[in-house]
Amino acid sequence: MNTSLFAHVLQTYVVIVIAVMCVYAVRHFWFSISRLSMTQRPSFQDLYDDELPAITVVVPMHNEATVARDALEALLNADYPPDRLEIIPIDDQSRDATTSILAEYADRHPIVRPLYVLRGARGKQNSLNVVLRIAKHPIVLVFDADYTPGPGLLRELGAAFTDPEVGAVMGRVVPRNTGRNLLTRLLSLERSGGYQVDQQARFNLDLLPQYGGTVGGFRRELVERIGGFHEETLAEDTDLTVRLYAQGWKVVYANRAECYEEVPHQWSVRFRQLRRWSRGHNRAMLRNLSAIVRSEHLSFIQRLDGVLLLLVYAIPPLLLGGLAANVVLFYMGAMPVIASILIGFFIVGYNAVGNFAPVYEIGAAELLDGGVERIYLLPLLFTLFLFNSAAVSAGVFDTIGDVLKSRSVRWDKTGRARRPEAPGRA
Amino acid sequence: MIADAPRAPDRPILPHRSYRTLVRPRGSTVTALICAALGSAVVLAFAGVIANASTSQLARALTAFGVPVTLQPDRFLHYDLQTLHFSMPSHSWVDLLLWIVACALVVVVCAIARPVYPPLRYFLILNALVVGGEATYLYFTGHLGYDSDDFSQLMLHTAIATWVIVPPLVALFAALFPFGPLAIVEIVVCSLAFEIVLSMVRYGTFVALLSHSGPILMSDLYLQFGPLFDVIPLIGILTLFLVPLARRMQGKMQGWVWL
Repeated sequence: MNTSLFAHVLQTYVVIVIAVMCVYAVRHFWFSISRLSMTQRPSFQDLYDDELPAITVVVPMHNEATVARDALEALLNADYPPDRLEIIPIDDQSRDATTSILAEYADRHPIVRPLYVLRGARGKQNSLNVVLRIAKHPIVLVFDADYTPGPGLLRELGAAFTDPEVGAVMGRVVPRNTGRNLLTRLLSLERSGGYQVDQQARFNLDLLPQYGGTVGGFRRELVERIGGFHEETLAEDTDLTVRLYAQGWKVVYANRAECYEEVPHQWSVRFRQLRRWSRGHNRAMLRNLSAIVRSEHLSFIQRLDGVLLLLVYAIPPLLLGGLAANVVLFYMGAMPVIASILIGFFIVGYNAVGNFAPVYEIGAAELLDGGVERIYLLPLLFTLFLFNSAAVSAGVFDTIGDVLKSRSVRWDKTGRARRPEAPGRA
Repeated sequence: MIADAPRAPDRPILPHRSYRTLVRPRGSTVTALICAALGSAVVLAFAGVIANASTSQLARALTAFGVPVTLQPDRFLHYDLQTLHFSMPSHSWVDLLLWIVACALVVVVCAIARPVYPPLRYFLILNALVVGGEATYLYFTGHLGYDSDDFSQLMLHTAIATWVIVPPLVALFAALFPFGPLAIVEIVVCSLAFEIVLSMVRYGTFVALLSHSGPILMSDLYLQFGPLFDVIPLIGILTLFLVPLARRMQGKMQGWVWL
């Protein structure tokens, strides 16, 4: 390949990257307008009905002794009819005191029915497949062990299933350890943009809000009908979302159903988490992209949103590639000025991987959430870009390796930082 | 039957942040559009004059600081410009090898010893890769695609293109939020003024740096530090206006549309 042709190839690549980024920029600008200024579409949380669906709440746990009691206490204090509630904490081969804590709660509360997974492959998707077989109730809600749902949360999420067209529901995740350090503060901003604006706007615009795997739920029968959760996936949430949409079911986003979680406060933990999300999401993308594109239940705009949603974890490496191409073009003296400016703007402006939110969307979310001083941190979101891109790119390479070598995936739990509670509290 | 239907508890539905939206001040969107158009028009009309006045001052300042520069004519869009002409020391193959080894060391140390927190670490690695890549390119080809005059032109052209882009971009972002018309004008003017001053200061600084260091830092300065100094302060300016707005709206029922 001669130098000129090589330069043309790189220039074309840069133009493609910029075009893709422009599509995302317009999409998120539209989301921000929808959330800030247009009519909002509420969920079903204010629907009062004696016929609330019977629900099974699942809490996967692996070495969760530090948080297990809080989670179970919160669920037992939920404002939900006890005769319609079942709680299945899953002890996924724990080696700490989780097993004994679950046994203790099962003895005291008949609605707590722990599932002990003693051997076999670990991972949320495997545990959920077992739950599908043993759950008593038709609706399954899932919480991570470090989440402490408020009293009304189960009702707010469960009410969505009074609509027979709803296949899954998703609530809002709010970090509880925001003030711990810079990373948790930045992740809090990222989450805020992702839920307060991105998810709600997609719900407003009748696009594809996503079931996120926790603080949400699904109809058990539906998941059974589509063959359960893929055991070879690390993103059972994305996988389920896309499969439900492709078959004509709806996913409801309940913005008011807020639940508090612990976000990683260590960069290494966050890196592993992002890498796992990227790996799982990209596997789900490869598996489901054609189903979304071909689905006859979705409009063109919904299909486009589905494709953009599925490609989210492929974009950071694409953007890094654009930066690399620009560098090489600079060496060669063939860099278009406008391209260099735009790539620069996109690199600094886009940083919140997951919803891939630009900075204005996060600013909008903070305003809606009532944040004030936190807004000063917006310029620092830039620091996340390279970090996020590196972690997501590592996940992309993992995905490529998985596909090429047909290797199986291994579940990697996000580390917890909460300290064990004082003995005797229960 | 309706009479037998279950009754909802006698509990009000409280206003909640989940579904509130903003009340947009009258005229703010129009002001934003006018600011975007007017800002770009002003830039297009006066960019040449501003750029030439700035480069003249820069040339004087750089000469005063011991960096020999002269002005040379250039044409970009419809402007007759003057760019800074300066010379750079060239690198011997030994220099380049040393740069390659040094950059490789930075990458290895950052990747293995992890001396600093990840965001800074990745930033260091990226810069080392860009500089090391440039050293390798220079080592094998003997020259970069841009010489000092090309770089000087590139910096000035980029500055002018950025001045044109900034008003519509900033006005668009500002239009999202419930800023009054005056605040939108202030944001656009502040951003544009900052961008003009920054571009010229950066231009002079990069010329001064390269005239001492040689071309080895050229791509890194232009591609890494260029956008960084542009976008982060622009976001900062927006936040300086957004924070007081958020403070005024915090805890108030007015200013919001509630579900």
